[in-house]
Amino acid sequence: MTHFFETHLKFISKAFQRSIAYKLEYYTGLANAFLYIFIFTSVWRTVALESPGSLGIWTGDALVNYAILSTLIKVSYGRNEYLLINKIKSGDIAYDILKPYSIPIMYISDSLGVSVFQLFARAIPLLLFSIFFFGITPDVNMYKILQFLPAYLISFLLFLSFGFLISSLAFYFTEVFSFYILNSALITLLSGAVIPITMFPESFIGIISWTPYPYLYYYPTAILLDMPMSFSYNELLIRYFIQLFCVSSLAFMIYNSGIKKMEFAGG
Amino acid sequence: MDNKLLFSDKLYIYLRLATAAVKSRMEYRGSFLIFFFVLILFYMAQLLTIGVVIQKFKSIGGWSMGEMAFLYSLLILSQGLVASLYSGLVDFSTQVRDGNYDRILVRPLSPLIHVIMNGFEITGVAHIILGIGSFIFANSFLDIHWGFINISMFLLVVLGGSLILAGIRIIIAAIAFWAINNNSLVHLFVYSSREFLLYPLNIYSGGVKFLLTFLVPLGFINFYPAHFFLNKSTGDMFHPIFIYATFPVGVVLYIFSLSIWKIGQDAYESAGG
Repeated sequence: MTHFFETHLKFISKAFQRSIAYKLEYYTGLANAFLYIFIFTSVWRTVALESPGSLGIWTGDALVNYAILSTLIKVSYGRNEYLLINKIKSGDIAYDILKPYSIPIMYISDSLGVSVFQLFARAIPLLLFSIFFFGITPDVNMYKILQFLPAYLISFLLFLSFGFLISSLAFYFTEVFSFYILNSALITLLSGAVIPITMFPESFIGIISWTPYPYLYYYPTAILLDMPMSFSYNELLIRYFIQLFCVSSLAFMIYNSGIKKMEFAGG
Repeated sequence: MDNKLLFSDKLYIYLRLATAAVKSRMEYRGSFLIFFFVLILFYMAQLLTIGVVIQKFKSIGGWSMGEMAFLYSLLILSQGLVASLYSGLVDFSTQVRDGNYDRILVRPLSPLIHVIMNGFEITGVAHIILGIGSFIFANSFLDIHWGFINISMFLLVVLGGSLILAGIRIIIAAIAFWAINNNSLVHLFVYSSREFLLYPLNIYSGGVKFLLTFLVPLGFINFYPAHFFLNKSTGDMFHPIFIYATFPVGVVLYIFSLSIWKIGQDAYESAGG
């Protein structure tokens, strides 16, 4: 058991060290996240000033806070998208299978290492910078944080499950980059990373809430901002578990059947 | 060695390189078609998010649905040309890190054109299809008379916009000569900075407008020239002449980028041991 933890702690540590290897990458990554925050806050400030009557349940300040917090949540999630894909493509996965660790847990550990880096080196500095630069004052108390943490944790696992699912498709397709783009398209549109899902016409919101996407960024941000939801917090958690169960089960099914059908040409 | 190759020989080799890149891209036809289709879906998702905001608020910064679609079409058409021709520069730092660029340097061809042609990307057509689609959509809302002057200006704007985007790609790729790894810079300047142009520049603060006009002149790709076609008030720009400046700015930036490439190449010492 100790060996299990030591091994996976090493994976986390390696991924963390890999993330800090290039200084230029770090600063431009920060600038990149700031750019998105800046664009979205500019858009929301503009429309709130121009059409205050169309804001509905939102206020201008709430939208600006939403843009910042949802981007920070997005920034805090990290994964090495090509970790598993490269192993499958090169055939190195054959050696990994023989090693005394689980590949899915290795994938999670590696992503955890990247995410710890993203959280402390990117998201938190950006939050402090946003408080100073945009003057945001999120009304966050301990009760909201306690409600937020489980949602944040499950949404992170959901994010990893999506990555693992798409990576596992490399067993079947020579090129899985298209699936990442498709996933990005759906995230852009439905996750709340760009626009809160309440901006959609009423008839779409119900449909979107049954897809896993708004559970990634919209609901965690909505909890922090205390935005009204059409269901209770407990129901939200149940929905979270259902979504996580569905996506991760699908990912493991694809992975397990991929491992079984895997064949290598070389000798 | 370089002098022995005629211009026509070089042109023939460049075309062969581009053809080889297209063939290699289409080797797995199914994957290629999925990628092509998904790329269009990705950009449509981007368009839809803007559409949802406009549907709710009627306009952004005084720009209506049709005007926003027109802004988008100018951006995506310029992007289409660049995505076809200059995709090889996106992962140029990998060639520097792997030492593959050294092989290109010993060939009797222009290294820059060699890199560009090696990475010729047929999927740039997806941008052009989407650009034409959004252009038609925009025109269904707008009343632009497409006479000779407007058509000529439109073509110059798209060409100038492409030169601006290409120039930025060349400069960012050249940084790999010094930095070895420029992936985040590529992400920031080639992909993310484009997000600014999905919305009109007048919604941003003065500092950002200055940045996108004089330092990274992306504003000339769609925001400034759109004023010409849409007859919009030029009060929110630094100078009214900017509505005509896309092509000259593109040419100047492109020439500047070539000189940066040259300096970088002279400073290049190979990454490998």
